[in-house]
Amino acid sequence: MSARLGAEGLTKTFAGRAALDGVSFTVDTAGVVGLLGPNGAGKTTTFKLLLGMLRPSAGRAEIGGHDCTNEPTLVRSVAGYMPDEPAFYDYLSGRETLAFVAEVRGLDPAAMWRWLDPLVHELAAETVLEGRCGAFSLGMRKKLALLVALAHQPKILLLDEPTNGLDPPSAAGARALFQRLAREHDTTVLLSTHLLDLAEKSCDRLLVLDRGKLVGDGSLAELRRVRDESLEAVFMRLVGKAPVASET
Amino acid sequence: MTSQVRAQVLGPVLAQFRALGRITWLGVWRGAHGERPHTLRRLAGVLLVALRLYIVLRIVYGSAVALVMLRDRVAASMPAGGIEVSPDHLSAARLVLWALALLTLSSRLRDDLSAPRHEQKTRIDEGFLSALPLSPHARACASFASSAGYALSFATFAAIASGSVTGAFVGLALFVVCACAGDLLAERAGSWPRWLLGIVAFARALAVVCSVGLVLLIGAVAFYRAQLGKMSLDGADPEIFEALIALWPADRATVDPMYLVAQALFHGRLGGLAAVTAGLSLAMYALRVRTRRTETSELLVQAAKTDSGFADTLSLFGVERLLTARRAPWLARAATPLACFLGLAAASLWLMRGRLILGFGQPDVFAFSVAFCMLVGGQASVRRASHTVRDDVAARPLLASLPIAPRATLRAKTALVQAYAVSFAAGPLFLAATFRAMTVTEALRLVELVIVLLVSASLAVSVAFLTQGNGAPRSASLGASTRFEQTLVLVPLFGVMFDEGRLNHAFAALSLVLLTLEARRAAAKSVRWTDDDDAQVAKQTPVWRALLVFGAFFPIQLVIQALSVVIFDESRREWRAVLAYASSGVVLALLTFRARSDQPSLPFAPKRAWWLAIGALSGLAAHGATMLYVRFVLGTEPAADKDASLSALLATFVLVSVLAPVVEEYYFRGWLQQAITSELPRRLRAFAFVPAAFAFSAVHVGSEHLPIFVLGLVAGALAYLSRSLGPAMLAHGVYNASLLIGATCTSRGGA
Repeated sequence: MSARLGAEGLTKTFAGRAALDGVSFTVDTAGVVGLLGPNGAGKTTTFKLLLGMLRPSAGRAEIGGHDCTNEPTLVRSVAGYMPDEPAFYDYLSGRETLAFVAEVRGLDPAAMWRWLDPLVHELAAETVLEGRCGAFSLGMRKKLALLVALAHQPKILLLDEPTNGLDPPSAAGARALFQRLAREHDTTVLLSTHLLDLAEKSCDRLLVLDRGKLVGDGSLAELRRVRDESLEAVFMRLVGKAPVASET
Repeated sequence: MTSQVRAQVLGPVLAQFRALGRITWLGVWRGAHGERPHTLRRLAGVLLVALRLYIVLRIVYGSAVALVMLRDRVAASMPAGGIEVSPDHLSAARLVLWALALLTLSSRLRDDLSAPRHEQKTRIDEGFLSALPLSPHARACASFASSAGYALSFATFAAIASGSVTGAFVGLALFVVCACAGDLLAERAGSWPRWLLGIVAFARALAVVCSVGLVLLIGAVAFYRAQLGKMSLDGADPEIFEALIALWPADRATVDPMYLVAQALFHGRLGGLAAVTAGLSLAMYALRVRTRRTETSELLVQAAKTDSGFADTLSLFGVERLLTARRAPWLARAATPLACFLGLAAASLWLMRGRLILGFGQPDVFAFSVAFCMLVGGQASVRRASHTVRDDVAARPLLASLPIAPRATLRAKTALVQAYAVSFAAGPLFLAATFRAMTVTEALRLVELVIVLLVSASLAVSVAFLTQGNGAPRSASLGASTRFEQTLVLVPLFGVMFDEGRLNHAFAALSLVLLTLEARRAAAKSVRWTDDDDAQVAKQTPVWRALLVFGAFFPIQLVIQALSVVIFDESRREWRAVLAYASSGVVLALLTFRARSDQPSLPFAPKRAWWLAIGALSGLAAHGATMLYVRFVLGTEPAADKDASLSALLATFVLVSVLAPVVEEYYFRGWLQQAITSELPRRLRAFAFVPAAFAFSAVHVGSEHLPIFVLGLVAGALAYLSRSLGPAMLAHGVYNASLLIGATCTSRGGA
């Protein structure tokens, strides 16, 4: 296994309960991959395992050729990560936080800002740069976290519930951005969401998790059993809550 | 009669004092500040105020009893049979004191068990009054009442110590005025500008530092006078004086300046210095709650926003510096080192005027100031380290996504805290440079101070990560809780401060370095920002875990020694030490037995019996070497307490030649040495007994380290070669026994 992003029999148990159970997938091409699943399906656990924040109970994961458990620093240097609930140093402004990120990642600040400035505009995140992080709302923190994740122009982006808390225009901007990154910048975006609308509109491929198990993997077209089956119906069927009617 | 007064009055008052101090600051109201419904919180607040008022009433009552007794004492008209105090009153007072102690203990226990999040912890500082639906006037009244009660008990204590009722009431008045003024000021502090808060923070630090210095200075005077055989302390009772010094709350990062009222009264001759310090301290004491709150309050954050110029690049070190700058005005940040410097400068000027008769020369004043700066600098670094780690814990989601090596984080934080810690060396340097040319000894001591400050700052950062890092603070902070880690930090620090002789200093300093390296290695594991809980990922090294258990040994010993006063009176003092060591030794053995499961265990009996004979002979040889060293290098003669009773002597003998060897060898060779072995690369494993022997000698604070180190080497080598503990225990036992027998023979023979 030497893929951009891959997992092999990835398992994580918490106090004897499997949060993730033998999940395997490989992503080798640029594109937007959606990680779908009901609450508690193991989406955030997957991200944390990929980032080396958790150690797998069994199996392994790899990002950009680096082992996620044993080389977390290398993994973090190639991937960009946006957590579900971002937090920063309260006493720094957004701009300073990004300056700190640039320094830690060894980026040229001027080059970073040349790359980020249009994105700031696209995400309507101007207010995020000057205010103090401690006073940010969830939406503002999400925007800053997205900028932090994008700062080094990563080829692999891990986004945990990226549009959660964003206002509709910003959420639309973010969706367009993910697709543009995948098309124009050869980026693999792995995003978790429970918003089927987001998944349907922007994901090229879907990974469906249910109670720690991977129950679906493929594009929406591949996951459909009947033509024109809605994503909602596909999702409900995969997670075992399918209305029988959709089968007939 | 004095001892009777002390036994009947001083004891209860001291206990009250300690209990109240704990309750006030470590707070039974702590739980009331959790995330509970508003009404419940208020209800809890009201209940706690009622509790506090109750405590105050009890103290007033206790103080009244004490004052009655004092009046009798002062009038010198005591009946031959003792002081007439109704036994009912005293037993009632004792009962209340026991209840208070129990209450304190349970609240402390709950604090440690509940491990509140640090956001909640910072709110504890706001004090219980802010939780109440009270008008500002009512708050001021409540505050006044509690302050007055507190002060009354204290003044009583001071009066007993000084034998002066007038003095006590002057102190009381001074306290009440200062406390009320402080409270009124505190009410307004929320709207003060940033620079003014800086000044307040500075004044507070000055007060605290001066009070620490004064008490240490007085302690030093007492110590040196006792050493010189001048037991009379200007008419005061030296034992009360000792009790006063012993009141010092060893587990507190800051000090209750109220102790100073007693100091000022007790040493009426120091008048000026003591009164000024006490007055200032008391005002600052009342302000402390509020100032501490404002240091981290929105107010300062607002002020920080107006700071011009954002940083363009921020390294790990830069971000630390900026965060520290934003958190508090510069004067507040520099307050403690500056106060330390000014305090020492003032003290030295005072000394130069010859007003304070110290009974010892200038080098001792210098040594005192170095020790003082070590203590204050060490504690201040702990606090600063704790702040920076708290920032990191809060920003964990950001840091977890960045490619930061754990050692880089530790390095950046350590650099900042070290820069801060070293500023404490300015005071002694000033003292040495201003008044005369520095001697070589002093220069060396100053270098030692700087090294110790650098090392202890690094240790403080590692310990902060070990205790608060990784998103899951283990227990309450505030710099107040006694953690095993803190004991571990303090033991070598005290060794450097108080051990005599350059070789012993070197031993203590080196043990601080080794401890720091181990703490750093352990901390590097906890800076990885993993989400796994402790059971799944070891965030400590086996050696650090073993050391922590030893950290438990010291506090247990101290507590049991303090409690044993109930069983053994003054005439059987040596039994207290026996009891304290025996109980803590048993606890150490039990903890070792329980916690060393990750290490392969060594059997007690060796495979070949002749190892036991070699063990005994090695013990004798080590004893011989020690005697040669003591006689010919140190030029002294070991001697035992010649007044000890035969039974106490026998108990001591059993303790040092049976229990201590078994327990200590079980821990040092049976666990620590094994843990070190497991951590060393294969080719170095044979030498694991060297660091174990070093640790063994370093924990014997106050002893000659070299002979103990040699004994540790002998025992460690025996354990390694024989693959068993028996020979090492035998060597240790024979060594201790022969040393005790020799010392007893010498002293009895001499007598």
